[in-house]
Amino acid sequence: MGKVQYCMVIDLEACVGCSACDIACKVENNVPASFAWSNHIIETVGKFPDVKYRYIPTLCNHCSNAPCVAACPTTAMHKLDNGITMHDPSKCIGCAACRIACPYDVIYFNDKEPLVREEFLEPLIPECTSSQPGIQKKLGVPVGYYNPEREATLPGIRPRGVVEKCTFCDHRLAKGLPPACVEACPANARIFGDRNDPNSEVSKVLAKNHARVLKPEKGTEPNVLYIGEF
Amino acid sequence: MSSTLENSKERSMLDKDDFNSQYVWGELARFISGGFSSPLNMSGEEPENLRKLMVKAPPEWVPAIQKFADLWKTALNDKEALSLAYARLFLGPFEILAPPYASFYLEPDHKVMGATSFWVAERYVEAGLKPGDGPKEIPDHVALEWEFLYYLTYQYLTSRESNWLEMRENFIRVHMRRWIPMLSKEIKKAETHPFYSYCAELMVDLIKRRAV
Amino acid sequence: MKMKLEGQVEEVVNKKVTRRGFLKGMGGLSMAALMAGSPMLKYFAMASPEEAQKELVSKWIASTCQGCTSWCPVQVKVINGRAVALRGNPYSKANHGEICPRPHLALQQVYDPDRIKVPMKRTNPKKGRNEDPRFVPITWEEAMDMIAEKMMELRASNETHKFVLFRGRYSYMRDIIYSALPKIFGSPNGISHSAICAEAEKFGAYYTEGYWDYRDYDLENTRYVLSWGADPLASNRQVPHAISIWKKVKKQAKIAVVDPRLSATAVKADEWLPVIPGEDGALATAIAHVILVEGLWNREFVGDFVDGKNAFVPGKTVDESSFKENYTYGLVKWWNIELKDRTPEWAEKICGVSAEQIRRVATDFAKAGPYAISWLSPGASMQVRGGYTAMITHALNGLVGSTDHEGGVVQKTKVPAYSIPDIKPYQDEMAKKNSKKPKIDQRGTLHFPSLKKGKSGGGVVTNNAADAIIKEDPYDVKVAIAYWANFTFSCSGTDRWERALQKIPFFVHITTHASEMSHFADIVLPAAHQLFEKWSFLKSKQNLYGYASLTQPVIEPMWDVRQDETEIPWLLAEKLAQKGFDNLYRYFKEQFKDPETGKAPTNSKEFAVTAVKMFTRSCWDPTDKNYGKYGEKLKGWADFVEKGVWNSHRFKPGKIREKYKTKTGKFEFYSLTLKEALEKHAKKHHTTVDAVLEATQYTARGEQAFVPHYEPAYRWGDPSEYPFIFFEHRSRLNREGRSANCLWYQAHKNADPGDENWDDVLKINPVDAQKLGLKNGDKIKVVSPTGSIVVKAKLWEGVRPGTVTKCYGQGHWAYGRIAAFDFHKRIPRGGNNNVILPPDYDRLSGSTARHGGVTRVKIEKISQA
Repeated sequence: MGKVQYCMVIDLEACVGCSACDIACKVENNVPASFAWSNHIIETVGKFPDVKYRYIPTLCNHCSNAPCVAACPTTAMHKLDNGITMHDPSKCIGCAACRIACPYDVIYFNDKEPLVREEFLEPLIPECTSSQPGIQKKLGVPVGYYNPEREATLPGIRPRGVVEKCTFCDHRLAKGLPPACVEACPANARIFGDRNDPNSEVSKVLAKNHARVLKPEKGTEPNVLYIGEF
Repeated sequence: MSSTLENSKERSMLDKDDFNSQYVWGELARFISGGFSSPLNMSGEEPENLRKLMVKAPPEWVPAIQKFADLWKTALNDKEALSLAYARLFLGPFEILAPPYASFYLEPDHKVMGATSFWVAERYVEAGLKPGDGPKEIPDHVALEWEFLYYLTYQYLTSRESNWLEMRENFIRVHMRRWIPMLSKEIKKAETHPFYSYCAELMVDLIKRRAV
Repeated sequence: MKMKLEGQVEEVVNKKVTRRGFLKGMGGLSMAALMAGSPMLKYFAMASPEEAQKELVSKWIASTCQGCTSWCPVQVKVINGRAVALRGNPYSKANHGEICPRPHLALQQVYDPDRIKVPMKRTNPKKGRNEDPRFVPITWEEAMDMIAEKMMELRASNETHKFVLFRGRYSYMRDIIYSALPKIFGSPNGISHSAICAEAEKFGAYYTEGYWDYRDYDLENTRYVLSWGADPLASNRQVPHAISIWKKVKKQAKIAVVDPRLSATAVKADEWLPVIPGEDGALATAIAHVILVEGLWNREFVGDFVDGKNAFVPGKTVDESSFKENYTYGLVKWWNIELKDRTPEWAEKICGVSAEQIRRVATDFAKAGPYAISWLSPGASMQVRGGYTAMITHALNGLVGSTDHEGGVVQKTKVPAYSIPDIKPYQDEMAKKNSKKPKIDQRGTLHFPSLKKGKSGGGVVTNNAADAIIKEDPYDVKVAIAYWANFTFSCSGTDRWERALQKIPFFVHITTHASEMSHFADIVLPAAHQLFEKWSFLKSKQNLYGYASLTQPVIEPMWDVRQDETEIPWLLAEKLAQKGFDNLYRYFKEQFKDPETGKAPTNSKEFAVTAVKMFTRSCWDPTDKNYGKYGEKLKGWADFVEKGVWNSHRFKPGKIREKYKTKTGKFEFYSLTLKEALEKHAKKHHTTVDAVLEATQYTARGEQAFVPHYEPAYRWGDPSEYPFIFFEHRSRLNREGRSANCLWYQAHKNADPGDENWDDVLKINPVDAQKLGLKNGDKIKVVSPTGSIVVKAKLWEGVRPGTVTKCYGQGHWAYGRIAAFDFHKRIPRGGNNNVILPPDYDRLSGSTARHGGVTRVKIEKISQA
């Protein structure tokens, strides 16, 4: 009663598979290049010339029945009152039980120094080009485009030894802004809101469309839903 | 680290509008910062100034301040011994017994100037600070962090805007509490000098008293 | 230890009451006394209000993305002086606040650790791909001095025409460096990249409706989109607008995509027509044939038979007088010369698309007309014989009356902007004389008509400049400056550019990254990044709105960089003046005045801003004669800087068709405009039009040359030795070949259908792969008659058997440590298509023929051992 349950509906009909969501997420959340809090499943089916290509954007499903939360031995992975599956790195012991439990492969483990690229440690051309340490020294941030706003609810960069994943941009929601992937989607294929509020756009869209979730058989009750066909 | 119960007790420790205790706490933070500075940078007036602070301090703090001032005074009598202890603890050149940087404790591989240093530096900038002309240290050095707490307290007391206090409490909660106790433990374990051992004890005490 | 501390805390808590009591006794102390002065800081200093303000600012500042030629108005989020995010500019009516993935990638360009920080000088005099240039840092002063010195030598020897300015991508500040600099100095050689871009496309619209430019498309109101290799959901043009409206388009219209590859747009279409590369002309003429035979042409635009009876019967000629045309010219001629035998059954055998599908698409397209779009792209026109394909595909718009019509294909609203002031008074005798010498690219010669806007030699033949330099024909180039260009990577036949650059005695490269072209430079000048560090403006159109969009320095430049199109020519002018040639400097000082203050610029930075203000004045200055005439009235310069974009009125179709700028004033199915151009070119070379066609690789002879007609694909390589037709395509993440050093580009590469992250794959149909014994990920050598690359195989059903395809963009052996597999050993990541693509041309437009399956290849498996 009156409890917020955040939810995202992705309209595959509108989605064109451009990956702007994936990149905008990395920008917003300082996600290492090798991770993808926002990601996609792609497949090409059929035989030439009757070929179909599908692109399904994916992210943490913020399941109502979250296996990652159940698996976490330290309560580092936990549910917030608004339905977000949140992670607290200070409690994380890096056991990766959540990763194993998650059927969607959306949790990433920092097994090395985040955002550091071996390639960039030394200047490419001595004295003529820079390096990652050079940029750090000049700007005082790990990478030039580092977003300090992420720090509001999580370490701006998650340290080595802990997991990380999509938080529905909880730090943006706190300011009344939609998640970065929603704002970045040029097709406006992502609808975000409170599914417990009958007047929210998501509720209206869900009422009008047959929505699906990924791997319903797992019983996770995802809060990322899909409508339409790619 | 701390249970909720403990937090709630600490929250009641000091009234945020309690000017005098905030003032004394801020000054103590400044003295801690000074204590962790190189003995070469000490003016020699610290013990006397600390004693002056006792007048304004809540009575239960007085013995601690008194002890701090006495130890400092004794330490200054043999500045060479103090410098030697300082070097062994914090500088090297051989083994550094208690690295005074947050990143040493918080970063994988003890990497200095990693994410921790950046985070700390951002907080300084956010609070309207820039590097001064004095001694240079990396942002997450213990002396800088304590001076930062002093500065935030000062700003709060002069403006009475609670955001300064929030900044301070947040800095302690999400950052300093994670490493200051570890540093303290290392310093005390090393047993190089009673002055530093006491600084170590006092700073943990101060942090515990502050968290909101 | 821990226990003890907690005990202390406990103890103190219990004494709370005492503390309270004590505090009452403290009343005598005033706060002021305690807190006088400022905080006593040892390690810190307090930032000044300005500094503090700056540090805390989080602001969206307008600029323009030049990641492709959509040129979208964007905004950059700046926190603490750093750019941290991008979004579409909400003031823009063109992209209505949406952006594609490309602008985000720009963050990894501007903050790329591999960017060049300072001017560099080559210390290894030997040039070659395998020579380390041994660059060392120098000052701007030194660099400009050396360049001016070399240029002055050309003045001294009266060889100023041996100076070349190569231009790659540009903004509309371009004429300062590209036109004023060479012409006042005394050279004809401003050589642009245009002909490796899409000039052949313009050929189609020009020789049918007299419009040498890109068209705009009324997606909002269309009922049919027939795309000819166009992939607007991924690449040029108007990508974000197309993406944002595609769901609506799909609902209200049918979408058919002609592309040998299952493109990003093909996967979101109703019909995919996987044409055999280069045979688009057969498909297009067959569609035209069906439209006429079925009587589906647009009566209002094209007209009708006098007796109202359709006499277009396959194989039968028609009496010209029996048909009365309205807005068009030469329909019956076209039918008689070309279309009457172009049945779908004929086309099916050539283009690989079934007759049934051709009929269906033709019928649906025509029935949707005039609310229909035949969308021409480089894919179907940048081919050896692509000029005519461009004409046919555009002529389809004429047949269904969709050109200059709601829901169809339209021209543009004027974007009022000024260019550079008159240079003539600043050209001395030497400059006047030498800048009239022939240009280095051999345009206008018999083999290179390059008929831009009807003029022989009217357009550039970019890629041929390499051969001309090597052959010293018409002369030897001595000093060259290239900016925002990387021809050793982006032009087909890359080896020729390596040889050409090796040959130029003094070569200067203005660039953000040490690219394949920089490798041959004597001096490398670090350029400001266009989106974040530069003053300029762009003119473009999307969604039927024209616009002027500003780029501005939204951050302090990262390094010791200068703005390529304004600051650098200014610095050079200063140096030339010091050395005794002050014409350029005087031109800049005397002719450039701030429109608001009337002040002349005193340094390079002021010059940059002054020039932008002058050029864009009509958009924001109420005293300008064009203010408000074509669109919005911005309230002064500050308003323009704040909003970042000026929008035109929405284009209203229907007026242009009343008088096309063709020879006949009509939409020409029989092009008198082209006839005249070809005849003039033939006459210039004292020969016939047929001889011109022969010299330019075209097969048409006689009257066929003047109508849009089918030309068989031209390919390099014998099918017996090179069994596969190779064709290339674009990436939705390419920032024109400049984003390969971005981690995010590599990490998300599989957003291009069929591609793989962190890799460069040749897509091959599984049927063909099986024959070669290839499986996914096998390392293969792709060999064409002119080069070879090593990449990985990707088995994919989205490509026609017998053809193989690979995306352009990877294969850098320079540019940085992500782009190149090993920068120092010059080993590319993947392979550059331009290594295997032979340097060939659509010679009628001067375009580089990089599409249409211009070459065949063979594939050799490399053993994994």
